[in-house]
Amino acid sequence: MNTLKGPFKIVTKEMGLTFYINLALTIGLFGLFYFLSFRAEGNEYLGLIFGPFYVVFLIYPFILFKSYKFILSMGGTRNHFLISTFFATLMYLVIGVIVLNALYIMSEMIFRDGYIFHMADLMSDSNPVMYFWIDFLWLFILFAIGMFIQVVYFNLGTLRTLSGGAVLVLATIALYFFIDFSPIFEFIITDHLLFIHLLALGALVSLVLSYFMMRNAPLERGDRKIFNTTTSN
Amino acid sequence: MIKIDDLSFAYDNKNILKAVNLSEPEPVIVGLWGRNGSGKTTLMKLLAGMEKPGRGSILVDGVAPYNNSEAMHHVTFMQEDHPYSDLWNVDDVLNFGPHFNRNWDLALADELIDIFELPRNKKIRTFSKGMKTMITIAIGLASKSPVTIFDEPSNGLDAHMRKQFYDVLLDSYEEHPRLIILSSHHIEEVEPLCEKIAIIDNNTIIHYEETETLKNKGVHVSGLREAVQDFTRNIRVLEQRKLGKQLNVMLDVPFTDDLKLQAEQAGVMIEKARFQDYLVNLTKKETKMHEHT
Repeated sequence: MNTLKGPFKIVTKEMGLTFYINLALTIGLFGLFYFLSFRAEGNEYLGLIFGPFYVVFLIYPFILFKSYKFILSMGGTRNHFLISTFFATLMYLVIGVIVLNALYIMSEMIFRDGYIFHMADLMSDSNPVMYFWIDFLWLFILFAIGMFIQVVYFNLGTLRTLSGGAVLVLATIALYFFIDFSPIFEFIITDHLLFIHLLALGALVSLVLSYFMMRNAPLERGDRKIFNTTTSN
Repeated sequence: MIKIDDLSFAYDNKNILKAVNLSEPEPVIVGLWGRNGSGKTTLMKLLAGMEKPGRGSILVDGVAPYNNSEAMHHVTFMQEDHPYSDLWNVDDVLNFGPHFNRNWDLALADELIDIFELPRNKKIRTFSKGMKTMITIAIGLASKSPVTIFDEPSNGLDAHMRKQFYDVLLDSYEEHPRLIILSSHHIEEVEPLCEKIAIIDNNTIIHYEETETLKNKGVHVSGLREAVQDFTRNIRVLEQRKLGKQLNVMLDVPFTDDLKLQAEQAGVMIEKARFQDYLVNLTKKETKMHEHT
């Protein structure tokens, strides 16, 4: 018997409701832009439809993390939780990318005037596969960022996470004043495709780190001990 | 079934369990009794593989449970406040069950849901405390895991529900014998079901005996102070109360005909102590301090 089936069902159940709500929101947005396209003039920018999906993939880890407890209490392991989370996310990610791009392609066919923005529009490559790939990468990056934050928060708890976050913010502000960021901004604009792939690589690394932090994670949030101390009675 | 060797577990610089040893090779119903904070829940979490042993080893039905994907088919642990998603109804849980337990008995699960009159399509989050306990009991029994653990299984149940629980537990056990551990801090609630009882205190298991043997221990002796003191000279005293010239003590000995005869000859009153009172006195701090002095 495949021991992943039960944990996978629990995670997909936890993610499903949010996914369908976002699907409805995205289709609703598309309907709104379709209506607006009849009032647009020329090649006017109407808006974007990827917003709900991009936001939800960033916050998905905070939603699906409840299933950690459910899976353990049904008899599953931490590995079950992690692997089923990755598979379920991949499944919803692929469906999300297909839906977004199907709507985008439809918009080009049925909108009378105007256009909706796609993240791949930032690149000078009109290959349709690139449009799918860019959405895939962005959803993956956003999910990995959310997952890493949630895993750190779960392991270290509110106080230690906020303290670490504050230090990071201060360090970033200090760097902003002392280092010239213009070459980086230039790189993001001129070599956008490479930038996104580097971000995706960073996202992959953060997912691997998340996996190692959760593999022996505590049962309750904030219970991770960084330094082992001697025990007493 | 279960084998625990020199198990220790510490949390936050404090020993929760230390040097725990327990071996039970037979499929029996075991009561696990301990006062609040004695380490019962931690021991059950370790048996279920939810926590990693600090030292020593645990084998449940032949497998080490921590982070072991195979362990889900060998042990089921139903917690006191078992977590259920806000999105789940009874049918969802019954749908997940077979994927976590190789022995899952769908017919038994359905039967238990009907017996407990649980609404199948209502979200579990809307259930009362008693209904939540009943769905937890239903999952635990339907899992038919070789080792099934219930933490405070009768919590929130009224007298009628409790009787239903006892009946279905014994029927299910008779049909499919397995090691069932029932944890409680009210021993009277689980003792009638248990063949053996494990007492956990001071971070370890201090007694693991047949229920009948353990139940027979704990004797109240009362009478004139001198007579009682003479009678209890070489016997472990768990508690004593003075009332003028009278002295009332609880002794850690079995209640036997021989002891009754000795009491009669010594001119003191003797009677069996309540089991729960005996256990409370056995594990209270004053008793240990008295022993040390």
